[in-house]
This record gives sequence, structure tokens and C-alpha cells, in this order.
Amino acid sequence: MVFTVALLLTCVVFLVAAMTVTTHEDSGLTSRSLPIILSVAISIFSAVKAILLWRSGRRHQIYLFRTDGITAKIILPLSMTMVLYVPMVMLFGYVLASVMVLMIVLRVFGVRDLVFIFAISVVVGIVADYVFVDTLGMFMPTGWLIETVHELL
Amino acid sequence: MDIIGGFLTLLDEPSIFAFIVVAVLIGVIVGALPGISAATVIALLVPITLYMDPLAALAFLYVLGKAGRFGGSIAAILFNTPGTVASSATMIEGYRLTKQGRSKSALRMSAFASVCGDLTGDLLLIFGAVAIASYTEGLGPPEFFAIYFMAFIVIGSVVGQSVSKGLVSAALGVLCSLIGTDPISGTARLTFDSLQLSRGLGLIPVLVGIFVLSELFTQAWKATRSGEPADVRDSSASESVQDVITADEWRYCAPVIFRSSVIGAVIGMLPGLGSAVACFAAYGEEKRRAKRPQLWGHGAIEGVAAPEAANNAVSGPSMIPLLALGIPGSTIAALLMGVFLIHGIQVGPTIFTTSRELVFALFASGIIGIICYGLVGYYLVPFFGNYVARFRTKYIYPFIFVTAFIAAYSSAMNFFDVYVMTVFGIVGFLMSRFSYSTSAFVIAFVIGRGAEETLRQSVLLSDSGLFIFLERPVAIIFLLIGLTVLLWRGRYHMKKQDRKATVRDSIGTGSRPGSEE
Repeated sequence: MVFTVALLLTCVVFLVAAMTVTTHEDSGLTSRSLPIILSVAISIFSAVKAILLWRSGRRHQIYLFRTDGITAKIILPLSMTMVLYVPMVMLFGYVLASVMVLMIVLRVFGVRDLVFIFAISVVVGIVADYVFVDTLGMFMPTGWLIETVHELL
Repeated sequence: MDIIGGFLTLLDEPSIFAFIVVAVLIGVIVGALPGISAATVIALLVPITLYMDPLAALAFLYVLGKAGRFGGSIAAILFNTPGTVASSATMIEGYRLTKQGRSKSALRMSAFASVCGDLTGDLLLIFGAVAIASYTEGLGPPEFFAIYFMAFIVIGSVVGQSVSKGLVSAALGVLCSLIGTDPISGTARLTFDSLQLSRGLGLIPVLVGIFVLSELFTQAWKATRSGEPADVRDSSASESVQDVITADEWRYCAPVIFRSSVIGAVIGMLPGLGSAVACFAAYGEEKRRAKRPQLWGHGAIEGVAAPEAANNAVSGPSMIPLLALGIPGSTIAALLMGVFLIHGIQVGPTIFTTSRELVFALFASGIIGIICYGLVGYYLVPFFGNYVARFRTKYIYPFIFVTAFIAAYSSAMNFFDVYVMTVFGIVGFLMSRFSYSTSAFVIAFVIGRGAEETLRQSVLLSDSGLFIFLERPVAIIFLLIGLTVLLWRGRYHMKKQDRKATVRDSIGTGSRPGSEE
């Protein structure tokens, strides 16, 4: 039910966004035609499904999803780590940020040995930098902090 | 003759052979690891192929997909855990053979059947794609829109468990593909005044989010619900049994492999059906025709040969809709379409004129890849498969997490893509969790813009608006196929619901289904 309602709200937002698009075409379908058709179709589906779920007494699924704790335990920490990875890379550079992120994620996945976590994170960070930056030639930020230290030295 | 040209092209670039061997090894290993699919690894490696030659990139990922399909049988046979969905049927007889101490025979038969099936599929691809493309080359926008429409309906209604959820997933995929600047009028739409969104959602961040990050979330979720996956290794396997495939078994398996390869190849041509359907269809058919029915369900080696031949035979033909029509028929084909587009190669019927040499070299590399994984599977896997499939994947996921960041960022050197990937990781996880089809979403996302362009071009071409589709016989045929599939699937789904309701009622009243007669 949670997903169905979220889908409905998303499509209503898309529908409103599509309806505000100014069009210049004077013949045929405009640039907003298909987004409007699809948003309306998905919104109707979600609304009908939400009503059916509500009437069939399966609305308690909301609580099942909320109380199993997975969102809080796993999805949020992993998503937040990915989101925070960006400022960490900009601040500390790719290698150091990756080492820190690896340590967090290994812990989230249930690896308990802290020495192992630290050692493997450092090794993988260095290997990843060698493979992606040195071998494949990808540009990865060196990090504001590292650059500042370099300048000071 | 073109395929010989393809092999000659490969000889000019010997480095591709190294890529093929690496792809085989990676494919077999990731296929054998439950919880990591070939599609996940391909999605992760797509951005890395930006730095490779187009042929090497395509050959690498194409072969990886093939080897991954075979690799799935290793965990299925040894641990009763399918490495991929496609190897679920292999598990039934394969694991029973392992319990009888015949794991090596099962693995060898699996490798042999996979090679035969895959080669049959590739032959169909080589001849079928060219023939269909030569016909579809002359089609106009209305016919192409009808084909896109049919693909959405077929993929949406066939891929998932629920027809309505599959269609909504496909519609959502198209809707997301429309975000950004409209290619025809240049108007920004669904961008919420964001400059980053005006260039549209990047293909790679969406693919990595849906296939890689959401898979990580799912695996983490499963781990917290069920704890560490149990080591299902069977210690009771008798070492005293002679673990070789007898001449009689080869004789029984030969026709099984042939028929199953044909079943798999035909199913592979149809968009959306895929390996999982093929392997069960072949298993069911061969069980029905079995010459030794008493062995089925107790460790029949034909029961390993049939699903393995069928699920690998899907690989080649699933590329036919992609190459001949520009419509990916499977998730791996959708990922490969991304690679074609990244390297500026337009997929569709014209590919056989614009990039003929590359396409046939890709086919040739597929055949070499099949032989390579056949050799690895026949000679190495029976000895090392046990160690590979037992590796704990919780140590691999963190590294996939870090690589996913690089994959999303490196596609356009833009941190915004990392956020897009994270959002689609959550979306993909929720879709899987609530039985919406991520495959239908991704395929629709990849072809959504093309479909819109052909629709609007068709309407612009016509004086009768949307009725143009009813004036073109080819378009009518494809629209009718789409609607027929929709009706058939809808009816099947309703019957299934009725059967479930009957069973529920009969349990409630204490009578058996149908006993009221």
C-alpha cells in the first residue's frame, strides 16, 4: 500500500509538471502529450489499487513494512553512505573516501573483525585507485583537504 | 560468409581474445555466486567499457553474459541454490546427482549442454537477425511505433508475475525516459527547473541504480531477515560412486539436448520471456517424453541437460529483437544496447549496413566465448566450482558498492549522477520488494524516447492523426499481436486467480477442488 500511494503521488507530481510545460507545436502530439497520458494512466492504476487494498483490509501492510525495521537498519544507512560519499570524495579525495566508505559498508554487511575491515579497506582503496585512475585513466578528485596539505607542504 | 569475416576481424585484433577469456572467467565466477547476477556485473562494467574499443567492449560484456548463464548451474548443482533464476530447473535433478556423488558428471553435462544450446541459439541469431533486419529496414515510423507498442505490451505483461504491475513498470520506465529536453521541440519537460535534469536521466546511473544498488539493498535485506545463508553443502555424497558419464547417458542426452536447444532458441526470440521460462519449458517437455521416467525427480542426468541447453540457447536469439528492431528482448540485451549507444552505434535494422563488420565480429566472439566457457566448464569447474560457489558474497558487496559509485560518476564525470543512481537504487529495491518488474522498467526506459519520437513523427506525417496506424497493414499486425498477448496473459492471470480462490474455498469447506461434482 505504501508503494502504491507513493507511486500515485509521484505520478500526480509528474502530471502537474507535465501540464505546466509550454508547447510550441501547432500540429500533432506535443512534448507534454505522452507524459500526461502516462502520468494519468499510472495515477488511475495506483488510485484503484490503493482503494482495493484499503477495502480488502490489507492496509495493515503499511505497518508490516514499517515495523520490520529494514528501512532503518539497512536501506537508509546504505543510501546515506552513498549520498555522503560525494562530499567525502570532494573533501578527502577518492582513495581516502573509499577506504572510509568500505569500512562503513563492510560493517553494515555484518563483518565484525575490525582489523580485517581496516586492512581490506585500505588495500582495496589503493587497488581501486590504481585500476580506475592509473590504468583506465579516469579522472577522480584528489580532494580539497589533500590538495591543501600538498600546497602547504 | 560474413561470419568468417567476423573471425578474420578478431584475428586482426588479438587483444579481444584476452578480453573473451577474462569475460569467461568473471562470468562463470559471478554466475556461480548466488545473489550476484551477470546483469549486475555487466551494469557495473558498462562505464568501464567507455575506455575500451567498441568491439572489445561489446565482446567482453556479451561473452560475460553467456558465461554467467552457464555459471548459474554450478551453485544449483552443488548447493541446491540457483546462481541465477535461469538455473532453477537445473537444481531439481542436478542436486540429486550431487547427493549421489555424481556432481562432476552433472557439471560436465551442464557444460556440454550449455555449449550445444548456446551454439544453436547463435546460429539462429546469425541467420535470423540478418533476415529480419533486411525486411524491417524498409519500415516507416508508424510501423516502428507499432513494434515499440507491441514490445511494451509483451514485455510488460509477460516479464513479471502480475500483468498490471508489469505494464505499470513499463509505463514508469517510459515516463522516466521522457525527463529532460524534448528532442523534437527542444522544450524542457519534467525537469522541475533543474539544469542537471534538463539533459535527461543518464542511462548508466539508472542501470547501475536498478541492477546494482537495488540488488545490494535486496541482499542486505535478505541477510538481515534470514541471517547468514546456510552452507548447504552435502556431506553425505558418496565418493565411492564412479563419477563419469556413461555411453548410455550420452545416448539418452543427445536428443534431449537437441530438442531443448530448439525450444530455448525459439523462446529466446520472443521479447521478455527469457531463460527462466525456457529452462522450465524444456524440463517439463523432456520429463513428459522421458525414456527413463523412473529416474526423473531422483537424479536424471537428462534433467540437467534439458534446462541447461534451453537456458543457454536463449542468449543468442534474445539479441535478434535488439539488432533487427532496436528493441532489447532481455535485461542483458538492454544493457548491451546501452553499450552500443555509448559508443555512438545506432541499434536497429540499419546496423547491418552501417556496422556490419562489427556485428559479425561480435557474433564470432560469442562463438569463441562459448567454446571457452565450455572448456572451462568441462575441465575446470568440476574441480574448482565447489570453492567458487562457497565464497561468502557478503565480502564482495562492499566492493560492488564502491565500484557502483565510480560507475555512476565516471559516465559523465558528474556527481549528480551518483544521486540519480541512489534514487533509482531505492526505487529498484521497492519495485522488487512489491513485485513490480525492474526488467520491464529498464527495457522501457531504454526504448522510451525512440518510441515517443516514432509516435510523434507518425502523427506529423498523417492527416488523420492517430488513425494512421490503422491505415498501415504491418502496423495493424503488430498492434494486434500486442493486444492478443495482453488478452491471453490477462485471461491466464484471471484463471490462476480463480484456481487459487477455488483451492482456498475447498480448504475452507474441507472438500477437494472440483469435488462438488
